Amino acid sequence: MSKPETLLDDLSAGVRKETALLLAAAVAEGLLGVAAAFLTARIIDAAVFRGADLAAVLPWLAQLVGVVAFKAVIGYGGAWAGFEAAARVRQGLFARLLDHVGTLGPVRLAATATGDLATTLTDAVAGIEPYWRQWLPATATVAVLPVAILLVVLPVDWRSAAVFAVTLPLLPMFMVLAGRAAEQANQRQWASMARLGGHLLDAVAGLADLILLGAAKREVALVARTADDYRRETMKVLRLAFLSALVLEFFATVSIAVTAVLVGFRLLWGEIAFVDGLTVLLLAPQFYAPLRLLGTERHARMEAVAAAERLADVLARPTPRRTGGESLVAGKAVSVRFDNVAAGYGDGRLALDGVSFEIRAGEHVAIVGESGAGKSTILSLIAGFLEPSAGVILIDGRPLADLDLADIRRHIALLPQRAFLFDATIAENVAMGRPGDVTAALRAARADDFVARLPNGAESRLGEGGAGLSGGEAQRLMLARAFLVPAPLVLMDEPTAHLDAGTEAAVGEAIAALSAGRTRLTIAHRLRTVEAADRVLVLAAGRLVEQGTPVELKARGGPFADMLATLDGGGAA
Amino acid sequence: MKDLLRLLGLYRRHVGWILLSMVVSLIATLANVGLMAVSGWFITAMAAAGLAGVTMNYFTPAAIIRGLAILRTGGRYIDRVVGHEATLRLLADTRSHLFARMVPLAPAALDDLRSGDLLARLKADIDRLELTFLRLLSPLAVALLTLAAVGLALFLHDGRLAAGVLAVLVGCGLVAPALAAVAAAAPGRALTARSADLRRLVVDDLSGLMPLIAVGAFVGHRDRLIRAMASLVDAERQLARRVALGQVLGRLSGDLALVVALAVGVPLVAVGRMAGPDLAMAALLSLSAAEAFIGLPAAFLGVSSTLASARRLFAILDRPPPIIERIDPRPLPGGRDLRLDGVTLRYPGAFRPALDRIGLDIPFGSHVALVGESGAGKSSVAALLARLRDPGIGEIRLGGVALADLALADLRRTIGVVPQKPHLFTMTLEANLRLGRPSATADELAGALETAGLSDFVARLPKGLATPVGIAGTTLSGGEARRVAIARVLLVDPDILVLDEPGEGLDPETEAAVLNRVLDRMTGRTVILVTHARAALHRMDQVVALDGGRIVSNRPASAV
Repeated sequence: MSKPETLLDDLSAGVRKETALLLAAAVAEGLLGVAAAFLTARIIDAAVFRGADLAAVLPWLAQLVGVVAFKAVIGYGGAWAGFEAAARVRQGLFARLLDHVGTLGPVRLAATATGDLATTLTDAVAGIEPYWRQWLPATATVAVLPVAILLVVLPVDWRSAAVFAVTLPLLPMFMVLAGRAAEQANQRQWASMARLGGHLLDAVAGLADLILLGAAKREVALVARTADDYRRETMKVLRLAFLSALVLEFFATVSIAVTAVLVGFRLLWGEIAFVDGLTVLLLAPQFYAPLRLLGTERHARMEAVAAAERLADVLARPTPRRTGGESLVAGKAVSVRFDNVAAGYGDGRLALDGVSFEIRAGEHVAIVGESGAGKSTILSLIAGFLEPSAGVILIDGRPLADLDLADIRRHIALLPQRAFLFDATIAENVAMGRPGDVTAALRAARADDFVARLPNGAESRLGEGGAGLSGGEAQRLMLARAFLVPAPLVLMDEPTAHLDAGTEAAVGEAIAALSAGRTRLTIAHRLRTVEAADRVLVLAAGRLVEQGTPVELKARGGPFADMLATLDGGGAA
Repeated sequence: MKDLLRLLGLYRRHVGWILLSMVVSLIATLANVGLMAVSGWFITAMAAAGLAGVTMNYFTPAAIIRGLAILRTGGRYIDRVVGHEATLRLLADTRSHLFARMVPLAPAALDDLRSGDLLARLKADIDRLELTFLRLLSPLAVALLTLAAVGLALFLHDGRLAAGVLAVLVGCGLVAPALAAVAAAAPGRALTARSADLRRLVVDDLSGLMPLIAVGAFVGHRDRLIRAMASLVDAERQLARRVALGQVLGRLSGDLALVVALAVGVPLVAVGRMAGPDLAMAALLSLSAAEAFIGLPAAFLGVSSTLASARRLFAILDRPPPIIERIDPRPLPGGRDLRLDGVTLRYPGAFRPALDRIGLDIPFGSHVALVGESGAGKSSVAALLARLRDPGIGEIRLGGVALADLALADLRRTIGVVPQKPHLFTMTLEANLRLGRPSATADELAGALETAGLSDFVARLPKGLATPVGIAGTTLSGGEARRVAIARVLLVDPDILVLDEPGEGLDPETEAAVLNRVLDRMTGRTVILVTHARAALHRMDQVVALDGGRIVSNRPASAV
């Protein structure tokens, strides 16, 4: 519970100057309101009871104009300080989150849906803004103003001060009670609104299915009925919830009325001066205003805390500590060695458990195993997306942990199973900010033909997720990206798995040509991929259960031979 | 403006609630203004009486003060209740209206809404439009009416007093925030655009985090994101300045009205044209009238985004429907043979036609496979058969009658399609299954589940068919969701069944088993299997290979 609040406090500490400014502005604005009440009471008193004309009250009137103008300027300044404080916090936080995401990398973040993470980076970062712009100024006024007004009223009219003093603790008490009920009702209301919205979105998203099933007309009636049910349900809750706000309002309003009537009678009896009585009446609403404001701004704080919770959750994820900074000097191919390596994803289960193997420079090795056997964990470990929890990984005989991560990644060509293309041009998608010959890479990846046929060639802009390209075309662009810069180590996750036979052959050929002579490690789902390898590692439940050449393993009749039937192209079909 | 009128048109049916809500809100506001004004008058009059040593009727004003306090408190409560009641009624109506308008557009004219992003924007737009009344129309109406009431009360004392105070309140409380909102429109638009840019970049970079980090491009993209964030904050700053100005001027309006009331009122009292207590009343009336304007700056700022939301929403509703049902459809023919004749389909903005002069005969009872790589046009054939789209050129006939001449309900009862990406609704498993035929019996349900290979799965669920499937079916695996979709189409019992990639998410054995049972069940009826896999082809009568929108081969299955 304290976590999101701590984050907000920490963030505030980073903008101490702006925060101080905005708190001061809020308090000053309130105090100037008190001054305005004093002046107003004096002007009316002078005009009504001392026969003053306009000229006589003009100095006070001029002061009043000055006070309200100054109050407006201060109000504007406070808004400015609030914005700048929140803006600085948000920008700093955004950069911090990006760095955190970069350090965590795709594998450790795999359990989080991209959409959720994107919402955290955009909406949640924006969502903490009300804390500075609304909540903090409200707390400052509530801390200072009622007490200040009480101190002003006390010497003037102790009875009214007593009314104020008695209601002062009552109000926060009721506010907490009312606030909590209102908060719950508010949350319930928004939750039901969200559910209602969810229902509509669900129906819109599935409209094609509804139409295919001839159920669209029924759904229209259902949308109307659901919304109506929600109205009845929500109103039942709200009617009760607003009652508690009613109590709060009642106290504030009735206190003003009581003050007015009390002051009136004491004026009739001549017990106090009119100017003091009027001052008290003018100050009464100002006395209660900060408390009521705080009540309404509670939701600003709730929103900010909810957003901070999401942010704290992301920031709390542990990042690996890497110290290695040595660079790798490698030839055309590198060797890879796993020494008793174990690794997990932080949930206690081990994805790899005591795995040892060696891949010689230039060797082509396939990894097979059921899903969850630990195949992709091996690739993630080598690419530095994950740290081993035990054991050592050696690249060309040097511990991976000692090497500079960015440097080692420059020596790796990574080809995933699913193509990912950015919303950018083809050339940008291939180059990804690196120097290199894009045209040559496209040609080597057998992508030059279809790229040439596009309206703008390599400068054609791809839509979201590479819209408009076939799977084979997208995969060939991935190939061009991976091989733009020659890398001695090629890591592949069966990049041809989702392609039809014809395209698979073409892409496979390109891969073979591009990775010839380099060290290759491929996760294999197809018999053909396995048979092309020099050696096969067979994984089961995080352990290496068998290794050898494909022919050896087939002949041995062990786990690999059992597995053959489940590989695509290996079974009866 | 046109959009605003159209928006208001949606509210017409609830005009009674809307008026009631505004009246209650006005009463509560006036009670508050009146409370301060009468209190001011009361204490001044009491002081005057005390000084003169006379007595006065203090019962009436004291009672009025108490009454106003209660009216204000109770009025606020009723105001909140009625305001929410009105809003929720509007909401229920607007939602079903919008949804009903979307039905004929789906899915072809709503294709882009499949992206979660656009769907979320649609939701935000609808939410905003539904709150227009509560946040925009009601405060504006109440402010104007309060202004009129205050003006009238002051006018009864002095015309110049009324004119001066009204001028300040209108200028500072109404016009200034409105102008600020107008000035904020341009930064507001920039803000919307930059915020969308940032979100697009963030989603793109997070989705591609692995390649970004792998090729060492993350740092560059991170800097780009930070720049996008800075430019977003810049736009916000422009906006925030104008907004703050409008709000400050709005708050200033009460103070300035007080100054004007004093400046005009003091000489009136001095020359005896106005009673002392009336000056106190006028001053406090002017000061507290500004309460009615507090919500206006926010309301005005909402105008442009509300209109933008309305524009976007109406633009969706105004899209041309992809197909039009005949008003006088022909009766369903007896025959179930399908014939595609020179069928060509081109998606807007596509490089090449998705289907190019397809000619195909599918006699009733035959089992046909459409094969080819993704993008070959297989799914387009399925969409045309279900009449989700119409071909640009050519015609599809069922039993000799063009699909376009049939009633859609007849057509979709006859041709059942399991789409490639079926959507499961956030309901129970049973409700999802019964979508196509709510009247299905328990036996029919069990039969369909058995065919789809789900009997064991359902039996293992603690709640069985009453199990909720989660948001969009997220608690089911891809393969389970796929089989639920198959079962629910089987329940409709179509004569022609189109399966679009039914094997996705299933392991090969399950896929083969499910297909076998479906084919057995559909013996004597037509099955069209769209697939890129080779499984179960041996059980088909005919295999049609598509490539680039054309038929490249059409052979009996035995020859494949």
